[in-house]
Amino acid sequence: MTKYLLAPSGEEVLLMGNEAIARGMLEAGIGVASAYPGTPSTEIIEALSRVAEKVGIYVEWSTNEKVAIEVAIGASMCGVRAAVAMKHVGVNVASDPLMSLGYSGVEGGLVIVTADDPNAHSSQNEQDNRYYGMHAYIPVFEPLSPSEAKDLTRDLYDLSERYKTAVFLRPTTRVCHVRGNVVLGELKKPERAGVFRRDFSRWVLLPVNSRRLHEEAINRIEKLADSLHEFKYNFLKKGDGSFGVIASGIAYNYAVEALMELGVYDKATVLKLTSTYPLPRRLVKEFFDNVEGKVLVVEELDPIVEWGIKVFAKEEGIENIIHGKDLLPRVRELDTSIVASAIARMLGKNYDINVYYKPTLALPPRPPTLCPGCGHRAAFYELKIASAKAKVKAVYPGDIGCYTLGFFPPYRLVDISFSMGSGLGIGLGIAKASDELVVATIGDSTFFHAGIPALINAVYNTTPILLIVMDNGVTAMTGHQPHPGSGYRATGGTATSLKIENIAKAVGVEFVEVLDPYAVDASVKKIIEAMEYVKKENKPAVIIARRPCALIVYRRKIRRGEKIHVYYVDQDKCTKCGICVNLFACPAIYVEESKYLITPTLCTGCGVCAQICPFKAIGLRG
Amino acid sequence: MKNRNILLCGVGGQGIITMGRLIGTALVDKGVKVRIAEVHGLAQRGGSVNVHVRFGEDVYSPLICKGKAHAVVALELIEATRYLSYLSENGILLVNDALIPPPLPKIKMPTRKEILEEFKRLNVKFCLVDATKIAIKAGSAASTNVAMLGGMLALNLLPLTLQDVRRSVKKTLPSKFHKVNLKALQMGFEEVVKLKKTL
Ligand SMILES: Cc1ncc(C[n+]2csc(CCOP(=O)(O)OP(=O)(O)O)c2C)c(N)n1
Repeated sequence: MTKYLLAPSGEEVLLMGNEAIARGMLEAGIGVASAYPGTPSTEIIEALSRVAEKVGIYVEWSTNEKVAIEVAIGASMCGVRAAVAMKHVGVNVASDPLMSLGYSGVEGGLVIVTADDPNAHSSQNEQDNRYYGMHAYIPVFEPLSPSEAKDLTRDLYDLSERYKTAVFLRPTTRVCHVRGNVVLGELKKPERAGVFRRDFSRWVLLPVNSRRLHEEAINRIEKLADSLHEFKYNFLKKGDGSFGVIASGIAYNYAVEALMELGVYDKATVLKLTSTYPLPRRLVKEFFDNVEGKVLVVEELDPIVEWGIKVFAKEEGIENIIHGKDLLPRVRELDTSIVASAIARMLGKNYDINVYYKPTLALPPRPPTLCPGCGHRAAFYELKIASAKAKVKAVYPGDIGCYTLGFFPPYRLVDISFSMGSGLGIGLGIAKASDELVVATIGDSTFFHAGIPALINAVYNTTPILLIVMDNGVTAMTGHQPHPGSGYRATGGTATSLKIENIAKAVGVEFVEVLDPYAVDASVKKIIEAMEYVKKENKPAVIIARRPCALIVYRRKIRRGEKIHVYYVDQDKCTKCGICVNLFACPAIYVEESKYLITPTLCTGCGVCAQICPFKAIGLRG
Repeated sequence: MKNRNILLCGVGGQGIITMGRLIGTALVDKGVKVRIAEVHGLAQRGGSVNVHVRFGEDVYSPLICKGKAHAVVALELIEATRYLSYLSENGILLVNDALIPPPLPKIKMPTRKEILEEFKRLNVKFCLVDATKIAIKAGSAASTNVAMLGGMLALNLLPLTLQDVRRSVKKTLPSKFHKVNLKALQMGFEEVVKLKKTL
């Protein structure tokens, strides 16, 4: 992959949308890139981190999105081109500095990638971040393919500097995680020797400056609205005037294929929009000059383009009937069939979606699972046993990461999953508003990201709560990115590894214990102790359940050719009690013809099942 | 070239995304326009995985709609059944003869026999191949995906030759995995050439 990312200009290669965006950044000569990981944005910074040393740019995984955007803003203030990437919900975390950035504008070009996730493939919501553009007066651009994403990213740096504004690049999952043909352009030598451009009138947002900057921000957007018809990524295809389609970003693909499928592509006047905020006013005008009949606005999620178009039409006295979310869904993602149905309805045509094979056999669901050997599974099992032994009925706020999978049976130990860091915070409220014992779980990366202020709050306001930090050493869910506790950085090397127990003690937690989830009995004992401490002392306690991510350990062993000592079930001793499958549920253990068995190719040799088997029927093979 | 749609599916960890990359790289090297849609993140943790592969001059959308896949290529039987609705009329299902139960407590599992009977009842044109066995013979079960890719070539699902895919394997995978995968590719191809005659 790295070799493609730096391949010479002119070559045509297969790139994932995120890799293409990274390449576009390199073709723009960025000097600094920062991010906090989040699907579907992660591979952008991942790609850049692999080539950072080679091309001489600075790349970091930041502690959270707020810090990430601040790092990029700092670089821009020094005149260096900067990039920051995050998933849609990451922008919520970054939104405070973002709003000021909308006022201040930039020096060095600054592209903020907000990777939106219609259909919530791997997210807690489907929020449409084009609102953030409107909210902060920052223009929004939506690429439709890897190839366009690369060129657009590169060109947005020029636009950013010309208008002295940050810009949003808003790909969605179906751009970020789509691979396609990309023709590479010239790499630009990065400019990293920045100098801070002191400018009190822009960087110091005291009211005296803010009022003026607010006006300037609005003027900047107005100026863009009047010039974006020249931006080559927006274009108009004329038809016979009978009807028109306006489509933005990824939705343009579905619209074109739908028109072709319906056999009306030639008739249609099509406005392809890449800049969705602000709208390219003159091009929209020209579109309506070329359409007499009805118009359909095709976009995913909220009707942001549709509203803009309707306001514009009203102001201009345009009388075409404008359809949008009356014919298209406002939730989930679109596809060609959905768009074809909407166009057909508008045109009074028939369009059938034919499904030829409809199995009626009942299929089991296949939700994602914790991997074999995962320390989180052992910790959840221990928490379950500890709760039973201590006879507590606790409330279990969870959080976001692999450990959210503790939601699924048989664990059922995630009562709440909201947004990163919120489990602990909400738990504090529950503990104050009720007599419930609250046991919150949080991942290590999530703890650094947004957990620390809530923990400080627990100490400050003496809230009785048990926090279990599921520490696997990395940000596992998004693909094993390092965080402040990992001991290395985005570009490798070594870094100070911050210990969560030291942080907990430093902020004043008096009960802090580290346990190894692979040691079942000792862990159960410590959890019970902590629960009793919380109940008796009415104070917060912290347990750190520490085990390196099993997937990383397993892969490392395979790579080094190390032998993996796997376990087996001794059928003579097995009483078929089912504890290993029904309470522990490791994917390596299964039942066939009422026999309990272990798949040797899946077993990682963690040995936890051998400890929990009451009949000592599980042992090491050979 | 007219648009072609192939849906790949299976269980997270079976190498379905890699399969898509191998196909995509080979197609790009032949100058064919391609779009491949994947899902990362949560979906990869042992969950159900699908990859949409589309190629041809007029390919814009990265997604295949239900009823429009010229072929469904499944690395597992339950997942094959789950994604059958994507198959076009008279489309072909190439499926690995493997049943992987989800690790959920107390679930009812369909048997291999029931699944195959369902395919027959629905009149699905399908080719059942034990790609995992082939891969193990070639040297590693991890090459099941590449054995299936060999099968796809045998069924002419791709405008690619064995040589094209060999090149893509060498370009895409780390060198120490070349030998086993090239072998799995060849063996998967040969096995499906044999099976094809009975289709
Ligand atoms: C604000 C925000 N940023 C990023 C994400 C994406 N995300 C989901 S979980 C997670 C981190 C998980 O890491 P950790 O807490 O260490 O748990 P693990 O997956 O390792 O168990 C991230 C980055 C998100 N959901 N919200």
